[in-house]
Amino acid sequence: MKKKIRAALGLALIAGAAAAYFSASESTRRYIKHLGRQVPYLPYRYLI
Amino acid sequence: MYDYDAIVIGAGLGGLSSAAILQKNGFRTLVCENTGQVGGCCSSMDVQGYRFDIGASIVEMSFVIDELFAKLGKRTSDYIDFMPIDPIYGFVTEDGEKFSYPVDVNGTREVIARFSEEDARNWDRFVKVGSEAINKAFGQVMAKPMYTLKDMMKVAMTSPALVKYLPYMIKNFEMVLTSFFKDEKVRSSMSLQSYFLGLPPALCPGYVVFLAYSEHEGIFYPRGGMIGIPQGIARAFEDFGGEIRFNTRVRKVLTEGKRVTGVELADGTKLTSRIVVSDINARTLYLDLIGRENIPSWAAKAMETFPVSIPAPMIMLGLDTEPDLPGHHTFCYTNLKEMNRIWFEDYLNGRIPSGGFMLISWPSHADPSMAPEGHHCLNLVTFAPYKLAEGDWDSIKERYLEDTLDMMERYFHLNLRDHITVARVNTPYDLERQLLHPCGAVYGLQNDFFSTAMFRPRMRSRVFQGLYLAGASVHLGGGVPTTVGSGVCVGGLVEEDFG
Repeated sequence: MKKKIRAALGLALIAGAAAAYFSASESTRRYIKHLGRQVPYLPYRYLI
Repeated sequence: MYDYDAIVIGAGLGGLSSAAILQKNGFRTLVCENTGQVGGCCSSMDVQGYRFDIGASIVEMSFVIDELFAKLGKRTSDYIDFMPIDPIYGFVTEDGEKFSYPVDVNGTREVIARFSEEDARNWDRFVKVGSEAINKAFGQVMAKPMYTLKDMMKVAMTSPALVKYLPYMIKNFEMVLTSFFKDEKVRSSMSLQSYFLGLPPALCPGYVVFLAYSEHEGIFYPRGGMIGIPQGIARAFEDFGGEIRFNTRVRKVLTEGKRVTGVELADGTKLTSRIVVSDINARTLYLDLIGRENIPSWAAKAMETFPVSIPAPMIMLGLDTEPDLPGHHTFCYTNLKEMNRIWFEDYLNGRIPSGGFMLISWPSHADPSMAPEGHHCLNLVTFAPYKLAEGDWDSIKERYLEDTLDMMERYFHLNLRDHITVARVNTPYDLERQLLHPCGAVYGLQNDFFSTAMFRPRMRSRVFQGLYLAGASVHLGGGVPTTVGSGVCVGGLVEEDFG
């Protein structure tokens, strides 16, 4: 039961984020995309 | 025994500021400069009686320079003759309209009211928020290291206003700007500042919007050109007994285990020191001067994640007449959308922007000694890619000049052709050759939210003991106050470690 609730919450979160992303202005979407692409680099950047 | 206590690579603002503090604190310091003069991206060059600035064209938040001189136990005014500039910007729009924003915030309010009464009221709110943001938050961190979570916490504790302004750091420039102003002409007139970080309004961090306010606390031009600032700092450094070697290129940073031990010059001379301060691009430092083979693979990978900033090609014009411009700085623009378009459609596709905007700096307006009597000099700054989809910068230099003059006529109704006595184009290739900036990137590494402060290379290297980094590649990025601030930080870090 707990697992199902967690999965549903996760899905709702993803759906909410997707809805917020697609309803945002073009400028905001570009900004999120630009920053999102850099997330994998952050541990390296923090360390150097 | 070492030849010097500290060797500084590059006589840019960051390098000279740190060198002056080190020398003052008793470290025997040598500055090695590749060119024949100080300043790097904040310098000037003489061409047929005209003096043109290279790179920086104005100083704002000059309190950082005052902070440096205070640390040296000296007064800024004894070394640099700053002249206040008013108006801050003149504007020329594509419909040929000219107006300007004076330093006085009420004067600017009156100008804005001509376009929109609502935005005149919004300006009051912007001034209130901007004043607090600059004086109590962002201005406080200019000369404080912030490259670890602990540093960030410390800064937040000492400047609690920063926490209040966190939303402005997370949002982009355009979101913050449009939350304050509604009129397209007003919005566009305050969008130039995003390119001061080398980014379009859609990608620039939101707090940069407040530069449009900070300029109203005073902007300055040093008599004799922008080179007056590094010359003043260099003089203070030499007054303490420091040494600068010009036309001296450092080929390698020497290391032994996890320590730096000095530098090797282009002529093969080896100079030893227990401290090396780099004021060059951090990618060039780690990947070339130290060498990929001498650093851990994670460090090489880290450096490769940083793209270099957008280049800013510059056209220098000597004129035999006074140009019909509103002030020292003229911002020619179309609209906010166009300022994003030139990045996403032109820059990213290797095309030179075909319109949109241009910054014209008119140094002889503030200081007539910058040009022969009755003549004037202008610097035209645009932004363009290093790698072009068609041709290369050496082959299109002449065409670039002609196209830019055409653009000034077509978009902004400014016809200067008949009065040009000297024209010189400084392309990204030229900037790379003269100043050794990879890809002519005058702002160092790209400077967005995820590549600033603790996500920018550390000023105290984690890879090598005794290695410190100053300049546009670290701390808060390119710009006069930020690079001077980085030098102040490095001076403090060395004192902590070796003092």
